[in-house]
Amino acid sequence: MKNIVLIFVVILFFDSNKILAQGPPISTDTPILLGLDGGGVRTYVKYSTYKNGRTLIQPIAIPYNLTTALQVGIVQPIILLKQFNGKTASGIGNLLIFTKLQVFQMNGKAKTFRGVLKFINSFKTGQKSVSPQFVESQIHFVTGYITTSYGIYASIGYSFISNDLSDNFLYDFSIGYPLLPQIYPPFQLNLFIELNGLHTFESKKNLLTVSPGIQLIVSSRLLFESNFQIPVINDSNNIEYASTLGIRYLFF
Amino acid sequence: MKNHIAVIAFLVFALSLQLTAQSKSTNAGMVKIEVLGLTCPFCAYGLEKNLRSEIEDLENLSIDFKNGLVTFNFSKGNKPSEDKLNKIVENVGFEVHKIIYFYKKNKR
Repeated sequence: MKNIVLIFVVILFFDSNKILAQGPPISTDTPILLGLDGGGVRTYVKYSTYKNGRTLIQPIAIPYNLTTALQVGIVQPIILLKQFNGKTASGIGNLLIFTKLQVFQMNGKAKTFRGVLKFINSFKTGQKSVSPQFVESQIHFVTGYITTSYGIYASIGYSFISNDLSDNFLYDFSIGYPLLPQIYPPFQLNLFIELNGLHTFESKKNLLTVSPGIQLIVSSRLLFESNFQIPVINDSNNIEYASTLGIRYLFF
Repeated sequence: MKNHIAVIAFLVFALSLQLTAQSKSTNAGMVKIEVLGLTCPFCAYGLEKNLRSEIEDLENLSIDFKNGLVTFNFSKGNKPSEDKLNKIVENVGFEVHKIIYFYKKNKR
């Protein structure tokens, strides 16, 4: 049972945040807060393999820009979970609501440096078989220096969890490098190297993964991406690796 | 003979439609916007969407990321004001550095 909870936690921490970003990178959020002119529905499909099973997750996000610096929205994940012991479960995951507040923005020609505060709340609305039965609140600071030649992204966050589960500290770092010249309409091939970390306060255990990744952007609305998350610090020893194949699509 | 008249009538009709369409989309000029913070093509989608929804008959939109330039043609009577362009660009999270208008010379 603990393993299942851990898989859920990994899904929740490592995947759900990503849908809040409009573009690159793969496992780390971006401070670019465009919101598609205030609307739009985004989704992606992510297939991951963990030590104890496989997951297929499709979050559907509806963001709305209240102002150019303030975005709110909801995320509804749909989850398919298959354990290697033969058990399979699928259904609606816990609903998330989020707020992103841009706290600074410094722009230059073909470069930008931005910072965003992000608040996320999850609710116990999902089916029990595929959803953690706790309420979670997260606060993150996301920053990035992005140019047309490279992008550096970082975020730190704190996660408050209800019940008797431990709070967590989350940290991400990512470097992206475009292999093709930047053109519009987009056709991009990007390489990423990402570090995604999680520190559990109560048990004092750490999980840190390194993820090389590649991303192909074929249009203004569609991108394909893949990465391979390799744990370099894995105190709980429950995750061997996670391979990901993702498709992101913007409906409007 | 009737067939010939029908074909000619159809051609005249098609030509008039074409001329109407051309006169509507005749470019009166071009605008070049120097945009700050424009770094990723995937992120420029919101800018394109906003420009197209706010400016009628916008044509030949081009985005040059290396130089931070957005250019497009506008038709007669649809020249976007600097205020309007500033608002469109800022609404999608970028900044305007400079706006330059180019006008087509009228043939006399």
